[in-house]
Amino acid sequence: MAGDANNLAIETTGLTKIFRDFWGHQKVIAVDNLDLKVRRHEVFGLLGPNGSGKSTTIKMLMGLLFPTRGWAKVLGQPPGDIKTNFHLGYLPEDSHLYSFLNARETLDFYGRLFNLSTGERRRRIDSLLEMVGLSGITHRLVGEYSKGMARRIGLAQALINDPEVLILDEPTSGLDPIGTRQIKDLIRQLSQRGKTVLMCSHLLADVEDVCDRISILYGGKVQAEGSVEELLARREMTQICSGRLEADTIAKIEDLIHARHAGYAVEVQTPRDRLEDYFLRIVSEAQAQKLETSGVVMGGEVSDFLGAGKPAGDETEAVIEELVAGHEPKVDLSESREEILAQNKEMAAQANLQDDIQQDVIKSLLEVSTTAVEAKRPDSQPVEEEVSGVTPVDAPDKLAGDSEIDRSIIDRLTTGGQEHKPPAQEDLQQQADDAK
Amino acid sequence: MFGIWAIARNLVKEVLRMRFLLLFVALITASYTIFFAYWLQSHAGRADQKVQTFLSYSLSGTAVFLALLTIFISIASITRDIKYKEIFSITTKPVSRVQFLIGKFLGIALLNLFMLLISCGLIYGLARWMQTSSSATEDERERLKELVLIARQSVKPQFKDIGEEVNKKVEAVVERKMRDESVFYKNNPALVAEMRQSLAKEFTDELTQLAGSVSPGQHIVWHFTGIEPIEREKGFVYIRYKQDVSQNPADSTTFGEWTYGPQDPLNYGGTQRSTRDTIRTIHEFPVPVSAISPEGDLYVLYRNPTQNQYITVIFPPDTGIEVLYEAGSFEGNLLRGTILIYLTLIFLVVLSVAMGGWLSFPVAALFVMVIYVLGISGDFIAESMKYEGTPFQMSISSVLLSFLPNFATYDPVPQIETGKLVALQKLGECGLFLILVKGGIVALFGYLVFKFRELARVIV
Repeated sequence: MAGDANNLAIETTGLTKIFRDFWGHQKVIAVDNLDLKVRRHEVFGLLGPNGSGKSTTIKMLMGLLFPTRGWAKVLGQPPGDIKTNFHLGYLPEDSHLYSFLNARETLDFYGRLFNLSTGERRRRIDSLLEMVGLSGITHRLVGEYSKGMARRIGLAQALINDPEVLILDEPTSGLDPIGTRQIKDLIRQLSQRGKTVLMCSHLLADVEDVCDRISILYGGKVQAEGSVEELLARREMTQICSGRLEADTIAKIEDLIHARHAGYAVEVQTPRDRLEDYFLRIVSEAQAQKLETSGVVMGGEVSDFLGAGKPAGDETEAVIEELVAGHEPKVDLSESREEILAQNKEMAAQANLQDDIQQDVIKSLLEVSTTAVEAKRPDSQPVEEEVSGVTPVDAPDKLAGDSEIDRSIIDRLTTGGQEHKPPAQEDLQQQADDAK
Repeated sequence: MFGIWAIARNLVKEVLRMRFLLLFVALITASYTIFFAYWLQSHAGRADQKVQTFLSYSLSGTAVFLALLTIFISIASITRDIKYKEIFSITTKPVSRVQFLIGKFLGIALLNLFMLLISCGLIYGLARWMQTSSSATEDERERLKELVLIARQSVKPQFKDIGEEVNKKVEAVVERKMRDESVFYKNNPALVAEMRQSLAKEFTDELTQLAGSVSPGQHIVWHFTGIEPIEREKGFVYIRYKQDVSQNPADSTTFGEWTYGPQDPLNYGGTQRSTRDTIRTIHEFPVPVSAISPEGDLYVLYRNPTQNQYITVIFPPDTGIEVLYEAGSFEGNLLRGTILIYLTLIFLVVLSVAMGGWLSFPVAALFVMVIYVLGISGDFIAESMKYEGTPFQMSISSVLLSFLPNFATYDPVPQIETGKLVALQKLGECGLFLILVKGGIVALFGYLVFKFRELARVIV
């Protein structure tokens, strides 16, 4: 049990917050008996509609509100513990920054709160400003920033101390699609480098894209909790992705399915991009033409930094490397992040492998469209992994994971439209090249 | 400590970036210092009186203005951080709540120190400019130097104990009343006690007044002790006095015959001096230090001469007579006064920070303003109660006033404007009672309230 406790970055038991009026009469139960366990190194999402108690929970974890009942621990200590706060990063729901300071002064102030040396502060501030795309407008007062720009500074302040645990309240609120994508990529990359992230949002796509596990709150209570793959998998259906197929190939596939499973409806569609991907591609093209903008410096460097195909030695990558380097978790962990995530995947894979019917169909189809698949598959990828990666129909595509993108080539090429997942940047580029 | 310093630094930066506030502060400061000094210099009058007026108004103005500024900036800074939630990103860093409050306190304290030093430096420079200004004659400059731009110690005479005499008189009246009006007072000890209290106050006032009254042809002798001027070999000490009269003389002046020396003039004689002074006005005459005994004793005899005819001359108990001698420089005295003003500002910062961490801006500001006004008028309230209030009201008001910060007691302006030494003892008392005791209680209250309050609101 002790080992399990050490593995928990955040833990709540029976956490309850009852809101009372001036006279002490009970007004509303904001959080009701919440049991939450966030493991180290995972990205955990608190999902729920407005007023479901997400922010209240986070505020209790940060010591800004006191629980009416129950308790919470962050890194093994009660909320508000000064020593624990050295290892925490917190982005409030609105950035709440001092309007009289400019971006650099803002980060300098928060750096001072962590007693960072002058040189260290300067180094981190430069890097963070570069990373969030505000290095060109550091002289402007934060009070004059748009909400999205303030959000970027807010995120930078949450990272100034290289936190072990990052608690983000609606991190993408107010951000444009590019900023949203950057933040999501950043969260993934921080997570891959050992950070624990707890984020709350009511934007389903955000949570789905970045979270390993989620908890859905409604009325202050947990309605569902588990890994994203577990919760979203629709095991009664199978989705197959492929390169463009001729009509007779499709007919053969349909025949095969109908032969083995009479009565199964088969739907064949041409996949569509997600609007987010389309938008990002258009903006990338515009930036490539060096069109002027009055907004923050973004796209170019930041997209490269946060994107999957970023070249080695990129300055923004260096920021994350720097944040992570030499700051491994203080507690010896019995399980690494990879092991924890592997557990989730293993569970999903085991469930799928038990489904013999699906496996038969997939193997048959792989034989039919072997040319397209083989052409895209890296040599090092074992076939078994591909199979397990294909099977869950609603399994989210990991934005920043190269291996995920390669592995899910079938998803990318032949989704059923509404279930389509975004391809990675390099694949988009590949498609564009092919089109030319 | 690093968190405290970062918060203090941030607050100073916040204030320095309020450009309109700075402009306003500069205008206000200039108006009660520079413009006021020029205005006084452009009018006719004695240089010492002008400088006295200037010191009085400019120092009082500085104290009041900085007090108001302190109240508003302290409270606004904290309540804004809570209202606009900047505090979310501060207390979730390695900064405890008490460090947050101390950081705010330190920031305002530094700002106050900075502004107070500028104001008092300006006032000092202008006072010296008024002294050396071409419109002042040599005599006036000398007088200014001896009476105003100096730090003189004040020694008041020893008064004989009138407690026993008061008691005797009270008991005599009580005994008579109990005998003559036993219907009222018998079996009513509360009424008797109230009568005793009332009579004691009445007789004390009467006997005190009487102790300073000199009928025509009579005399009075005051004994001053502990006179220790800087220069014991040469120079002067000053006898400062103000006379009231039983009936106004036609020309509003009275005559006086004075004798002073190191021993009782009635037995040993002394140096004599005759005066003719306007009534109800402060006057001074010099006494050479040779008239003071090596132990620091000085006896002064006043005889009400026959020229005054039927008029009884009265020396009021508080302001009637005192001996003044040089005990320090004007610069040193101004510095002590500045420290005293700073200490009262520090108390206001503590109170404002404590209230700002608890209440909203308008409520906290109103509360601290009320406390400040009561604090500066505490002596006036106590005095009013002494003359107008019943014994019960007096005791209630004195209990309530004892909880309030007694700013009036620690106001250095009356001393500085009259060239009197601001005693170190007063600084010590202020630091101990106002800052450590009362300020400490307020700070503890503010800390506990802030520690156990929720900084966020539940939004569902």
